[in-house]
Amino acid sequence: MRLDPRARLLLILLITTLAVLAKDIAYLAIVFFAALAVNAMLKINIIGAAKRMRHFIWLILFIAIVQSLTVKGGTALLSVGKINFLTTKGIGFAAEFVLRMGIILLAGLIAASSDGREMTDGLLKLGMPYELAFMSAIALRFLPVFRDEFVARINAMAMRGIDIKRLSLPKKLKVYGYLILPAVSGCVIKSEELARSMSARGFGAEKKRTMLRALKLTWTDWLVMIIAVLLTAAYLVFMYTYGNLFVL
Amino acid sequence: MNLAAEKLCLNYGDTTIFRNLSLSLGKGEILALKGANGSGKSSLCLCLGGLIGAERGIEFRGGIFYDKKPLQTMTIGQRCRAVGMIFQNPDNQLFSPLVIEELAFAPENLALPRAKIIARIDEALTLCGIEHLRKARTNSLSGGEKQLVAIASVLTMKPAILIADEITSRIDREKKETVRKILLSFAAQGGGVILVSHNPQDLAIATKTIELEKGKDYENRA
Repeated sequence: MRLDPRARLLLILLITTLAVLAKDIAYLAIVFFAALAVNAMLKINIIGAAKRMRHFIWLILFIAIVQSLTVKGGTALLSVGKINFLTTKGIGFAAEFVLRMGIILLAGLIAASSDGREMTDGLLKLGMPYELAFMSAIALRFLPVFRDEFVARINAMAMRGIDIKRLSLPKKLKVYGYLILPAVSGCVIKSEELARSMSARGFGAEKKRTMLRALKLTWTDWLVMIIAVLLTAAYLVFMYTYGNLFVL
Repeated sequence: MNLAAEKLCLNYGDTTIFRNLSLSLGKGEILALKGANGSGKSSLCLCLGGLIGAERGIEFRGGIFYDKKPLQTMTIGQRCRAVGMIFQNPDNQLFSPLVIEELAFAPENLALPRAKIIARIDEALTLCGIEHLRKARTNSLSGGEKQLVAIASVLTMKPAILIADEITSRIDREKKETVRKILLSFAAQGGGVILVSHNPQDLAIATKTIELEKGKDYENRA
């Protein structure tokens, strides 16, 4: 299903708001499965995206494990002497963290699945000043630029005989420290050139820009938006009426 | 259509890039700028494109006039219709995910109506011979294709003068030839071209040439 970027932005806003407001694991799980359903409805390749973000997912799991071992309270599940290593509360905190991050990643996939500059156009149509809308779009463009700058410098080091993969962790961190400054300065130079190129093409020439993409909300967009708002309202009313569903 | 620069002086901090540099460019002319690295070719292009001003550490003096009107007093829209500039590295110029969006960027900024934006995109794509790239993603293009897209994205503004700063330096021989043809065709249609290059074949299409030297005072020289 194809949705107007404004409908997608509303879904992202609702999902991420609920991820923050959800009171416990049960509520978070509902939002997580709703976010999964939205992704499936938009035919987003979740498995492919998970493969691309595997390092980030591992990091989330690592933080969750650390959290489960450090948060105390609840019933002890694993203890040595008087020290509790694993408690129900720790596991609960870790599960909440994983679910929240999962929801945010799924919401991010909704934004990333848009075609070209669709999301920027959606933000412009919603009345966001175009300087701000482009700033956010270009900031996203610079994530791969920064990675490329960093990789280029790692390759340059490798060409001069330093294989970072074989270094010990302290030495590796030291080398990364040396690389950050030139990588950042490379990005700054690129951003200056990009700013000049945008300026040379009339960025900021008129107060109101026109748009090539003619955005129009269809009845499907309206239907999805109305259902999403109603479900969110029902969810919030239920949560604030009945309180926690799952207490650890 | 005439672009005139009078007694331009540029300093970066204590370093003088050029002094009292004057030039003029008329309809159908191609002016080549050549010189060693650091001689001020790119800086001069930025000045002529109205892209250098009161920035920290930069001292710029002199007048640039488009049809006798000072470039510095023009609005962004007027300046873009007068002078368009293409840079050396296409990777640092393209930021839209799709080619068609990149081409629409300038006319959207100039607030042209949708029908006119589409017409300008079609025209620029045809002029650059890249109609087949209309729906392509910018990150899937080769370096040469990216440069052609960058040229097309500037042509959508229909500037009277085109400044090309070493735009053939990163592309293969075949694409270099295509770029030269685009510049010649632009000049033949009444535009003016300022071309920076080290390539003798690029310089051969110029109708006049200026050789720059770092820190030189050009007083009393045409």
